[in-house]
Amino acid sequence: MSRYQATSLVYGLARYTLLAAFAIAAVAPFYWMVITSVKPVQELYAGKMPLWVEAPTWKHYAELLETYMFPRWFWNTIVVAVVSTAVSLVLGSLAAYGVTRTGTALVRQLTRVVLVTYLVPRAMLMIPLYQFLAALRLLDSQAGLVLAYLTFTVPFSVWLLIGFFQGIPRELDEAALIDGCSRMQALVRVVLPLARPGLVAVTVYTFSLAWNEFLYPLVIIQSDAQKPLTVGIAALQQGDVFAWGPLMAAGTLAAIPIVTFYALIHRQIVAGVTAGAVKG
Amino acid sequence: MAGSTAAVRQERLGASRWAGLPGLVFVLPAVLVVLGVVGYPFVEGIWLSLTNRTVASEGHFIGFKNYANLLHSAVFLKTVRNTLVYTGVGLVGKLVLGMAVALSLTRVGRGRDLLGALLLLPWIIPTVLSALVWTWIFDDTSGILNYALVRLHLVDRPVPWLGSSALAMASVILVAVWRETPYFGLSLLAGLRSIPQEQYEAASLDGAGTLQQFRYVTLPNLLGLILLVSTISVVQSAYDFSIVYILTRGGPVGATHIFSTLTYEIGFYVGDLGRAGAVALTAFPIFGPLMFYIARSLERREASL
Repeated sequence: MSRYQATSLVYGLARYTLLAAFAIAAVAPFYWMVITSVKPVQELYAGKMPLWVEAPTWKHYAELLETYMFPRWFWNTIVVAVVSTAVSLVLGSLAAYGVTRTGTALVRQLTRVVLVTYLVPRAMLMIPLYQFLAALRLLDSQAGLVLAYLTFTVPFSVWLLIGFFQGIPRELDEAALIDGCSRMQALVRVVLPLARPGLVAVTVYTFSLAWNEFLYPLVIIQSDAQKPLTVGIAALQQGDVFAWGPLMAAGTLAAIPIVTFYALIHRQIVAGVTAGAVKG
Repeated sequence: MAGSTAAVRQERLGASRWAGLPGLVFVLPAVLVVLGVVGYPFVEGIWLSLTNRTVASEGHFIGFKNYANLLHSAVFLKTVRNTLVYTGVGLVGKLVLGMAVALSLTRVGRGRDLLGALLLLPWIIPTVLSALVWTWIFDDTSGILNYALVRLHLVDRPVPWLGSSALAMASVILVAVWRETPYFGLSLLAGLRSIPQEQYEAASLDGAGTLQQFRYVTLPNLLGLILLVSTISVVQSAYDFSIVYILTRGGPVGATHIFSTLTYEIGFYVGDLGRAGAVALTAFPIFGPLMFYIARSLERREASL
């Protein structure tokens, strides 16, 4: 074996060891969450082999569904995430179309304002947003949550869609205009179908932003029945020590939609935006 | 080149059919919504921080008194220090580990997508959920971490990971680094893959070893990206909430309070809204310009695609 081969072998080995360590570190907490959720109580607190489960049980899941308003939280989360994603998709598509198809300085400036708002930390906005929703009498309501979520889902989708719309050749919608389409028709019939991978990406990302949000609902929602998953589950933590089982069951259930969604987008993004436009 | 022809084409179109106004009409709904739900409350928030409003009373204008009081508050000064430590130490950890992830992933051929997806898990799972799992891992009496350490005879008795001041900050930073390393890793990986291979070949012909290639080819090429990713991360993590709130609530005795958790506590436990608003905004003179820098760099990156 030459010296070169030896060193490259060492580097390769080091690389894979490192990657294996990172992968284990990334996955281990979730393994721990899932395994905790199916462990009977006696194994949980005095198990001989903590990394494994000897007699799996669904008891924690049953307790979660019986004792707490978990299904309700799940439903609330879905509703708010779907509505704020839908609104952001519409507003984002319009804005991205406007800014990628026009060169006026004013439009660009306005878009920059939208982008900067995405970077305003939630914590800076929590107190005034609370006041704002109180004045609108929207505290402790799903409508108030949607408004709060729009503060980050709208700027985010505008920003992401601009990138995707730029990848669609202008000739395509210009051709549609020459054929007598209005700007709106060009957007809906030509650009949006070509931007499908972008729309999917935005849907998945804004949906998970809304799904994961914690600070705003913590501030805005008071009653148990209005809570989204994050706030509902976090409140379980304040109960007695033995809640770890149901808590991890709740975490597992709440993570499933996001993981599924994420698995889906992985394929979609690869499809590529411009490739679709040129071939289409 | 491509950029300039596009500009010419855009100019021509703007003059003939577009004429400015319709573009504005398309952008306006998003702009109005954003100004309504972010712009207006934000300005209102600045005003609020200049009043002594509480949950119970309307309050009145008191100038910069809230801010002046904060400068004399031990809890607030501690919070500033904590935020610096949390953000600074966290950033170093995320950068170093993220670079390690990126460098080890670049040479991986088959299985890179799957591996990348696995590594991204901490970043995509709702932070509240992973923070709860970490709380359970760190648990004094039944947590797996203490169990393992005691079993391996590394410690004599369970360590209060979240119960002692010094350890609590370290634990919180550990979780933050764990959560964001994948983001740094995959961003840097994208940057690494855009570096022209010829630069490495040229460096190698000049006799540069692996370390020198990293120092003289990789780093200079990635500098812009590193700066951008770091700035984004700093702005976000200085105002992180979920990790600290779930793991420690800012405790023990304020040892892990950062801007957001202190704002929340003063605003919603104490009920002193004016003062809470001031806590949230104190660092705005620093973070405002950073936010503009990020927006501009992102625009440039997008324009150059």
